[in-house]
Amino acid sequence: MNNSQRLAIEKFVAKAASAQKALIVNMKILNGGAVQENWLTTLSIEGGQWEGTMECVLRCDSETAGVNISHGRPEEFELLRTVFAAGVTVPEPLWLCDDSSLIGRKFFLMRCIKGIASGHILVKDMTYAPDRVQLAERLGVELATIHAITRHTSRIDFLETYDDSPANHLIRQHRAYLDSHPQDHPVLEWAIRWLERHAPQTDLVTLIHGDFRTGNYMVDDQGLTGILDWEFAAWGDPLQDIGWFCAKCWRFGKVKSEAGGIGSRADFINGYERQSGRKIDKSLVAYWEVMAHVRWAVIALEQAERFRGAEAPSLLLALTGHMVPELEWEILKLTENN
Amino acid sequence: MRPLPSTADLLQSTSHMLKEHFLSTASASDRILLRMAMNAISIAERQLRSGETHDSQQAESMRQTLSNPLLSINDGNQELARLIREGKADHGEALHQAVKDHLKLVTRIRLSESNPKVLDS
Repeated sequence: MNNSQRLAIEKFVAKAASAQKALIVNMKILNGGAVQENWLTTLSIEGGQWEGTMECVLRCDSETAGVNISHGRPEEFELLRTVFAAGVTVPEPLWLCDDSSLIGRKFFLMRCIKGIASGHILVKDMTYAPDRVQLAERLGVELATIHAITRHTSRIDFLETYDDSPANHLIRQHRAYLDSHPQDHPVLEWAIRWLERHAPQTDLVTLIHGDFRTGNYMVDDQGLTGILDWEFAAWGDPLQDIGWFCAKCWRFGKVKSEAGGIGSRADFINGYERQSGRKIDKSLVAYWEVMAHVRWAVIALEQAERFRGAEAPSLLLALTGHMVPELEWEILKLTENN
Repeated sequence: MRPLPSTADLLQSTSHMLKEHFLSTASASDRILLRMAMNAISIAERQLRSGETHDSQQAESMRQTLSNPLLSINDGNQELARLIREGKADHGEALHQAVKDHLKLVTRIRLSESNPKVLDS
């Protein structure tokens, strides 16, 4: 952020916080955002209810953002407010600026939470959330709390609605993407045909996180501190989130720890079932794990396309494209039997 | 004829140097970037070493699967995708086993370049 952007942010915060003055004491970009930027921001606020020093995160689109299915910052802020009010452990949403003229992009500020999110570290380093039974159960409880939010119980009105089943809705989206891609992908076609033939009908459509996985929550040495990255939230089948969390492609190499590489599937499901009061059909979760691999492969193709079209090519995007064969290999194994 | 060592050998040596001289002393965040760079170099090296062999294997398997000796890989993939989407390779259909075997072969080949460790696990 340059000086004029920092001044604009200070002015905005002072007004939003009904303070006499707000100063940015420190501001640095955090690693990890291919689609969004997160800026660790220390504010000094004079006057009003927020008086004092405050650590926040400013979140805005990255200058090269390109995955077109994620929400904008105003929508993400509204989602954060909704789930925060519902009791989900998330960073407290503070102020939204939906005027892009201030810093060139819309942004919002949320309270900073402590800990780490990196999946590669978390699956190996037991100093973070050392009680992994407790962590897996807690994540199950958090997910069930998200899934208690429905169209009828929330004021969220910007998420896409559709008449088809959630599975068929995703199948249609994935096929549309493959049709737009310059190359054909027979393995993904094979997987999508399998998903089509086995698509479950469901009466239960809830808010889903859409990217609930290790890497998108934060833990410290005590345990969970917050669920992050709500830009893919949608109305959908709650089993989609469970399948995504448990899918082998999101275990960061710890394949035997089926709950996101950090714990046992049984502990995670126990937490979920206890909180939701619903029994989970394991065979349906298996279906959604196939869907998870297909969805990740489609996203990886999108990232590879971003690399090809980028002015400043990112090695991370390029390598993501090279994950497709591994995902396809797993898909072929998962769909081996009819 | 190009001077030796080959491009693949140069890439392998570069990767080896990064590992031996920089990886152990790099900060945690730089280690991630170094590993990404080494991974990219290894993929490029494997692609160079395989040359045209993998394309030939894929094309041959495609032609046998679709019983068409003149198909290019691109045209074959397009035809295969269409057949699969139309259900012509579903379980119980005549093409099912041949298509499945072909997809496995092709994916194994692609994986041998992008991430061969997966094939060992």
